[in-house]
Amino acid sequence: MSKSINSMGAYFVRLPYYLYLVTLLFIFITGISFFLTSTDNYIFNFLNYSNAIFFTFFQATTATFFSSILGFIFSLILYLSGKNQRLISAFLNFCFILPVIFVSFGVIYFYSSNGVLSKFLNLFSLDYDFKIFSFAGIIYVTSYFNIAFNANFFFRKLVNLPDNYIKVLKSNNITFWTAVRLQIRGYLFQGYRSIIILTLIFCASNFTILYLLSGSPNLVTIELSIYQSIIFNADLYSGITLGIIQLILMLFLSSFIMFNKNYDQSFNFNKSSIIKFPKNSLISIGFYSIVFYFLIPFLILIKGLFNFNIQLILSKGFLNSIFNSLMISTFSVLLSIFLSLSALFTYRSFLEKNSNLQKFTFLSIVILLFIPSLTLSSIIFYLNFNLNFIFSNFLIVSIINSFFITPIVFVFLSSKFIENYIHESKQCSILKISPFIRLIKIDIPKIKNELVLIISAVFVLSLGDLTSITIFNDSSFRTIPLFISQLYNNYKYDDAFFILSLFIISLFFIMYLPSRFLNRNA
Amino acid sequence: MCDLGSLLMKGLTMNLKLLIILLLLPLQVFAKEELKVLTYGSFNSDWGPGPNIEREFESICNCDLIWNTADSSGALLSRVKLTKNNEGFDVLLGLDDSLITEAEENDLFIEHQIEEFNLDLNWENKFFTPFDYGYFSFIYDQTKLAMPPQSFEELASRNEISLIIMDPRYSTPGLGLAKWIDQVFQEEAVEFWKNLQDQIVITSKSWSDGYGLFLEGESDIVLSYTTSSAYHSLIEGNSNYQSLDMMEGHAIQIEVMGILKNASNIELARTFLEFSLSEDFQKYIPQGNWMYPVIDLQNSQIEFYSAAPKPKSLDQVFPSLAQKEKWISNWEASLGE
Repeated sequence: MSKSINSMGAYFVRLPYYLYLVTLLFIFITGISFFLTSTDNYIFNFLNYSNAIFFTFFQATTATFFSSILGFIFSLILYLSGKNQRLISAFLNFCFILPVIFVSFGVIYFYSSNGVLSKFLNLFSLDYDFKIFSFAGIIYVTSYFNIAFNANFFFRKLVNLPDNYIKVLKSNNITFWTAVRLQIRGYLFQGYRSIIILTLIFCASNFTILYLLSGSPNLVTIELSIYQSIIFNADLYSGITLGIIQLILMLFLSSFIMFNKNYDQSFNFNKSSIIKFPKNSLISIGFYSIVFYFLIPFLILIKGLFNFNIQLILSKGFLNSIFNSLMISTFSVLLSIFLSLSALFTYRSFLEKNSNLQKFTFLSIVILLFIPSLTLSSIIFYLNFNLNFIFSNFLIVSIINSFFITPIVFVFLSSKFIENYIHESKQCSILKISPFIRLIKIDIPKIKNELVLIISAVFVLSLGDLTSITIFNDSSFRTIPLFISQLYNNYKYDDAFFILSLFIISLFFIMYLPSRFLNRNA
Repeated sequence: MCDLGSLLMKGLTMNLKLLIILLLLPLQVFAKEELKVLTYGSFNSDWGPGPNIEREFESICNCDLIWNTADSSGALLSRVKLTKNNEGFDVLLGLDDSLITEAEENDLFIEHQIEEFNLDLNWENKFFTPFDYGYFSFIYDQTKLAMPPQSFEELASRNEISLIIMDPRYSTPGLGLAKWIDQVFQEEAVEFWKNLQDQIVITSKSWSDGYGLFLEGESDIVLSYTTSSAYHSLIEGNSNYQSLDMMEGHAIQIEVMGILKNASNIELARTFLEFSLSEDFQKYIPQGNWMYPVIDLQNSQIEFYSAAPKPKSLDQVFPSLAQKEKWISNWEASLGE
């Protein structure tokens, strides 16, 4: 009896994951049937899109190069500055998950022809000729996020250097730079292959940046081509085919990191002591320059808050957008948490049985990172069309958003969740603890802190997303990023910046409050 | 006992049904008909003509006018092509004349059956009725560009002038420029595009993107409409923004609406099309959509017509798909030069 209850409990916990697999299979079959059942003689003209495919990886490689180099240099300067390490790491994390629309508009506000920098240079009668709506602008904004991502990886590695090692260096009069060059370089770059490939993947899927900053028909990526095929050419074939091409290329890249066990080590923060280095004015200048670099988009807050507009806050459009954004994010995050916990549970049970299906489980979730959001959108659009539009836009956008954040939640929680699985597995087996009780009473309390942190992070990521909503929107269904983008496109800049400022301040509190809560309970 | 129970249940069920019918009856009696109109975003924005038109039409039709929006004119046609209008819209408002042939070939619309047009422009089409028109032009800031070019040749020869245009594949003003250049230069259109290419600093996806960037100072001139300067002078009191007066003449754009094939309320849709040709609709076009109304309102909209005088017009063109492709390929041939 208890055995059957146990197995029932296990199936119950695994159910969300199995439902997810069925949904994924259904979407996959829809994608395939789209090509098989088509009555039109469709030929995908590869040459029409070769420029977009080439440019996607060209700009991604360039941005990865800058992110990697600058991320490494920034991390060294930040470490040697001797400032609060937890604060620096949290700041870099926050910069990494900032909404793309915020950073893009912030950078436009600073670097555009009538921007802050131009006006500042004009005070000294200096010419300003930088064009932000260009390849350089795309690389700048794409790199912003990934410099923060790379810098955080190296910074955490540096923070985890043993105190004694630094003391030995000091006592032997060996400079830190010499040590980096001769000794610890290998340690710093251990596990970096995963980070650089993830960076390349993030840089290749920068739809919103291209959507906002591409100022030329030559600056088009695969994702932008998918959007243009669907929205302007009514060409689902090209949209889906391009998505499949991107998926194959991404899978090829990700195969280098898929089962790399070093990957999650970069998230750990092992110690909190601060090493004091001798004061160096160059390091200080470097430190403040880096802080300024990351704060450039935040200058928009000053302009935004000076344009306080109570009517706009009370307008139907704004209230409707904020309601939709909150509902979508809440629903997506809940869906994603249920799915991730269920998948982790399934993954661990396969691990306990030493089954090869653990790899399948891992792959089935992580694959979501590599499917372009817009391809998923176009397949779901086709599916919904065939089902006579039974699914609402709200449901579709929420599901696509949850698919986008699920692998992040899964990877973040995986190391802690799986930790000591052999020991716990034996205990649970001896004490006959049912899988459901094990999940509720043992697993979740154990990962509570990580869970709270990742929920706030993915909630912010979901709130700031401007991908699938560009396809599934109408006059009554908009989110805050789309509302801001529409205000901006109708050159209501003051209003757009005002809403953007409120949005970022709210996101800051969403990120900050959980960590306060955790510190208080620690 | 059992019979009594079943009788009681039947009685309760009957009463429940009656109650539901009685409750729903007033809702049915007072329920208004709905007219679903698909249009582009700016038409139904807070500052566009949509909200006023909705109020006027609802006051005479005893119906609910429901707006649905897409990004742009091209996106509107794409959406109904993709869905075969399974979303159930009644009217599509906002196609421009360059998309009419494509829309007709896709067999998405029914005939409007309006027999008499008393319009400010020549019009004959059994599927679409026009609701406004305008002339493509280039807008410049006269405080920054003291000597504006007066012809395409002069524009292309002055390399110091930077220009924002829209992508002809995705934007109707962008396609309008391609048409305009083809009308003026015909066989030499590719050559002209090549001469102009160095000056194009941004090719935006949509008119609103491009115009916004021009206002932010990203170029000296921008592709827009002759009526854009009227917006700045009448709404902002700023007469610095002016339209170039091109000696070759200006290409015309006509915006139209039509009844979709599987519209759920065809009669109401026809009433809306007739209403669109009346003054109650048209009076919101000049200072709402910033285009010329299709009926003569020169007496009641003096301010608008004096701020946006009509330029020399080129002929109306309703292009075939092949013509459209030729215009776009002329532009594409100049890219990367």
